[in-house]
Amino acid sequence: MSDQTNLTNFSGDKKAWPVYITIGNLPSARRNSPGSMAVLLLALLPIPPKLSKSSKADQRQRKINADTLQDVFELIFAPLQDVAHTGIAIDCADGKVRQCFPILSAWIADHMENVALHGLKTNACPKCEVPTHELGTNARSHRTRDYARYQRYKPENQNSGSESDDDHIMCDNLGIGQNIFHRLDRVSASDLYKPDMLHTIYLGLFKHMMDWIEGFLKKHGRLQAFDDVWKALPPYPGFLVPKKAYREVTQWQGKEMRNLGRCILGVLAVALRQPGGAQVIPFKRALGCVRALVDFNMMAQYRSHTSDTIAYMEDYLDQFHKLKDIFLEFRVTKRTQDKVDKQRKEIRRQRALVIERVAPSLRRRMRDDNRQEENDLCLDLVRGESH
Amino acid sequence: MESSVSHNLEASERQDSDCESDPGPAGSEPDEFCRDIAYGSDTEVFDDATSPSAGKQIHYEGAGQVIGDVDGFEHEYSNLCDDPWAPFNSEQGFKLASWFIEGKVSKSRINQYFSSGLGDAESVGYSSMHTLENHLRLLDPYSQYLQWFEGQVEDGQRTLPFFYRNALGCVRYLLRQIAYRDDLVYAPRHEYDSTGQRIYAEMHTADWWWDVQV
Repeated sequence: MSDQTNLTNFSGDKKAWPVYITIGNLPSARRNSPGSMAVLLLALLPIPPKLSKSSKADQRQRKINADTLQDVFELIFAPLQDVAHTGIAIDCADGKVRQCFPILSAWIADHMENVALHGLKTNACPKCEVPTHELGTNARSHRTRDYARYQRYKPENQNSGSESDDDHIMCDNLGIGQNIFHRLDRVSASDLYKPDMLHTIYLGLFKHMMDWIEGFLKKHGRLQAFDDVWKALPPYPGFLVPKKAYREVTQWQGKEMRNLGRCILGVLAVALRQPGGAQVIPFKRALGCVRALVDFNMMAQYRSHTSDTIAYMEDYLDQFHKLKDIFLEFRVTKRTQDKVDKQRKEIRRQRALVIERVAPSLRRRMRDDNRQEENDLCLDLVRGESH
Repeated sequence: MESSVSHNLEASERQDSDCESDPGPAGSEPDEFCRDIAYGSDTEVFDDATSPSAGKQIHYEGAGQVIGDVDGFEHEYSNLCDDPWAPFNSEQGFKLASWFIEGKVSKSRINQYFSSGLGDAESVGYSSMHTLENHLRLLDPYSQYLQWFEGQVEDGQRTLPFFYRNALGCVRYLLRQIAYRDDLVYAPRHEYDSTGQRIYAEMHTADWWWDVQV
C-alpha cells in the first residue's frame, strides 16, 4: 500500500553516496517541498573506487565491488522484504492502524548509477533490451528487461559458448554485477527506472541540442547573431536573464537549463531570420526540430496527464526524430576520437533513446521527483564548492 | 472487485476538514491553521475541483482499510490541541526557538544571547543551547524509528564503514507524522475529467499502485 521513491546522488568531494527514501502516500507537492522533511536519508555509503578497464586485478576488484554492493543493498532492503507479501500493521497519522505493504516502486538516479545498480554495461538501457546500434533511433518496441531471467542465464553463459542470437543480444549489455533489485519481492526491477527532467531532458537532450545548434549556427554564419539576441533578452517575471553568451557558460544547472528551454526557440528564430536562398529549408527544419523538443519538454512538466496529452508528447517525439537529421553532421563528429570519447558518445545516444521511455513511463507513474532531484543536485553543488 | 463511486471532489475534501488540527510546524496560530485547512488553501492538488462535472472517481474497494486505532492517539492528540506549543511553555518560546534554528544561529551565539541578558529565559522556558536542545529532542517523539546502524564493507583491500537506517522504520516514521495527516493518501483510485478521460496525476491515480494493491 505504501511505497517509496528513492533517490541517490554522488555528492561533491565528500565521497559519500547518500540514499534517500520517501513514501508515495504523500502528494508530490508536499513531498517535494524542502520544508516538509518528507525525504529521509536512508543510508550513507562509501563510493566504490574508480577502476581502469584493462588490468586483470581491477577486473577482479570490480567483481568484488559488485558483490559488495549487492550485499549492502540486500541488508538495507531486508526489512521491506519480509512485509511485501504479508503486510504489516502501521500506525497512521490520523490515529488509525492500517495493514501496509511497503514496496519499492521507483529509483531516481543518474544513468551511471542506474546501470551500476541494475548490473548493466554503460551503454545499455535499464528499461528494455534495445541493441546498442539502435540507440538514438525512434525504436520503441523492444522487450522489457527481465532481470530474473538474466540471473538464470548468466552462470551458463560463462561456460558454454552456444547461445541463440536473442540471448546474445540480451547478455551483450550485462555488466559484471547483478541487478541489486532483482531479488526484492513484488518489485519489478525494470519498472524502477524513472526518467526525470534534470537528467533526461535538461542535462541530457537539451545539452546536446545546444551542441548541435552551435555547430549549425557556425556553418551558416549565424553564431554572432545568436549571441547578440541571447544577450539582449529582456527581463520577465520568473525568467532569469542570461548574463553570459551561452558559449561562455561552462557548467549548466537545472534552473538555467529550464530558462534555456523557455527562450531558445525565440532566440533561434530571430538568429535565423532572413535566410538566404539555400538556407530556407535547413533553417525551417532546424527550427522545427528544436520546437518539437521544447514542446515535449513543456508538456513533460504538466502536473497531470490524460491520453490526449501523452499522444501529443509522442507526436512531438516523432517530429523530433523526423527532423533531427538536419543536425546529423554536428552530432558525433570526428572518427578519430579515442575510446573515451566513443564511450561518451554511446551515453549521449543512450540519453536520446531514454527520452523515448518518458512517454510510456508516464502512463505508469506520473510526477517523478524531478524537482526533488534538482534540489538535491543544487545542494550537492553547493556542498561541493564549500568544502 | 471494483466499485464505481462518483462524487464531488470538493465535497470529499470538505468532509474531513472540519476537525480541530494541530499547529503547523512553522508555528502559525492554531485557529488560523484550522481555517487554512477548512478552506483547503494549503494544498491545491486538483485544479478542476471547483467544476462540479469533473472528478468522477473509481475507488479500489477495500484498499486502505482501517484495522484499528493507534493506542494513546486520542491522548496525544488532545494534548496537542490543549497545549500546541509543548514542549515549549509558551508561544514565544517556540517562536524564538524556530527563529534561532531557521536563522541558523550558532550555538555560541545562542548561549551569548542568554548570558548577555538579551533574552528573557523565564518566559521562553530555556536559558542556553543545552536546555534548548533538550526541548528539541522532545519535539520529535518518533525519532526512535530513525535510529542509525553501522555496517562494514570489505572491498578486498580496505574495510570501510557505512551507515543505514531501517527502511521500514523510515516508512513508519513518515506515516505517523501528524503534520501530514491531511495530505496522506491510503488507497489508489482512478480519476476522470469532465469528458471521461482518465487523468494521470499523483501516484495514487496512476496504474502502478492499482496493479500492486492487494
